[in-house]
Amino acid sequence: MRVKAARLYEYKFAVAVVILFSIALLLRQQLSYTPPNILRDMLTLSLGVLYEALPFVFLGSLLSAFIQTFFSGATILRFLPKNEYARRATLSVSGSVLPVCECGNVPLARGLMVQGLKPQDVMTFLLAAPIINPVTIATTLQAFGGTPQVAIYRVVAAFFIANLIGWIIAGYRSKKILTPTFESQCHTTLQKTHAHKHSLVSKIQSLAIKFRHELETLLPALIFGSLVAGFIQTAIPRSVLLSVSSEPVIAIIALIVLAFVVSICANVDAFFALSLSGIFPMSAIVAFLVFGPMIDIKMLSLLRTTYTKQTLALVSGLVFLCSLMTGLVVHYAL
Amino acid sequence: MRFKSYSLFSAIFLSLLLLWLNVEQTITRYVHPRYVIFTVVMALISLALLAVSISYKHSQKSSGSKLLLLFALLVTSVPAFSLSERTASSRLQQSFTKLSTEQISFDSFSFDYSHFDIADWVSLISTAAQPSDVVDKKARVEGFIFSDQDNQKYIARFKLSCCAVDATPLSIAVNDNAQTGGLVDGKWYAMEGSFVLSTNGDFVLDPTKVEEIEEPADPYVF
Repeated sequence: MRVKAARLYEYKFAVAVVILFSIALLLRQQLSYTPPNILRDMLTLSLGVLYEALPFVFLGSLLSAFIQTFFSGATILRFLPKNEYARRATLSVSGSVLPVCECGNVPLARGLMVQGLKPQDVMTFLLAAPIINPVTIATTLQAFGGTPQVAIYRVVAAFFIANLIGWIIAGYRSKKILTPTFESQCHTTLQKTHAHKHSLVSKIQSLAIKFRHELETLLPALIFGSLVAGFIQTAIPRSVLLSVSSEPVIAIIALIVLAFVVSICANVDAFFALSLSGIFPMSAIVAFLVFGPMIDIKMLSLLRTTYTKQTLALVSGLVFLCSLMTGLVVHYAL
Repeated sequence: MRFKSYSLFSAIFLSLLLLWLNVEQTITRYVHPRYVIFTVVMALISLALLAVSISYKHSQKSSGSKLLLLFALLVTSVPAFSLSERTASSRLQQSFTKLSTEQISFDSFSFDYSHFDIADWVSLISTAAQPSDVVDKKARVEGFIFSDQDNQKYIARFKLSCCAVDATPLSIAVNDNAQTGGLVDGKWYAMEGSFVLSTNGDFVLDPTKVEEIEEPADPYVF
């Protein structure tokens, strides 16, 4: 009876939402007011981030739900080396097989952890996969056709940084790597046995439920991250960052900050970086291309659904330092 | 037990909105056209899976804030805007740098510039080996007007690589002469003229014919 009442409530709610959506669409057709430029730009920038990321979050959530439904943790681990260093190295390059945008990797990573992969191993995957995949490498080579070493520096730095941070997290003594909610979800799933064979229909229903759960968890974070990214880019003119290009260390830091704020997808950030190549030295460009796919406002917001603030602060700090070092090595040694 | 399905229905709302933006043909005000098909496919898959999850009789308890639904309602009811001249002005420094080699359609053996759009002219200007490559060439461009800190006017269109956040203004400096009748920031114009060299050594378009136009349905260059 209670389930029936709940079902009725949801159907009534669904009808209400459909009516509201129709009214909202009508308003959209009728509104002719153009807001002040600052509000117009903030809205456009925020929604640009959201609409670009949302399909990838759908894809990542679908892959995550698929892994959780059709694969056991034992099956996944069978494909990976038992040695932890080799395992993380393998996960670093697995973006070649699953070239999803970095925001789509978050639900996928959650699915892998639910199935038993360790947080440090998955962090390596999260950091490296957006860069070490054929699409990102191809677009980097295309954008910087005259300087192919940009792509090489980017891939090598990503591999090194991702594995270094995975190693550091592995030795991280704090038990608070994952959020309590997500950790509990992982434990609950691992305790379940796989003795029962489910029909395809029930597996599809299970996949749909898991997909919905991932989306419900990540959507608020994605919206929040998009709004913050749009706000910062509107409030702080880009010219402020672009004016500090003369001194190498400051230039590298400025572009790392820009990468954090601008939250562009790794698959195409090389074309954006190209437009900065006449203003900033190559070392700063490389630092931008390494830092951005790993950590930005949108990614931090999504990762906060899974990792604790302490873990993310540690990872962000390490990625910043390593990206800075990468830029300095490119500038002074290469 | 009452279900609070705000997160679920916000997800449904946003999936429907992505489809609506494609129907309305305004999705490219936010993202590059290369993502359009992918967006439609994923929105449809999302809607299908969410519908299946609702029909599953032992659905989990949902949660979510009313703010989410309010946000989804708000963005659905607000029309699609393009970026303004304010953003162009703040990103002006990026507009003069080298573009990808794929952008350059200039054929050094051809003198036909009639097909050149603003992206082609910016490519030519940024790669010109000598002033004569650009000076006295006749151009016809369409774009919006913005000013820099020195009140120099520019005609521009935004170029997107991925989404609105990476939008870079492709800008050409313009002489606000007697022919223009006074260019207004934010308005769109179709302009014909020739390039001249300013006292700073920059290429400037000297208009001979200016016509105010409506913002096109597709205001960006990709």
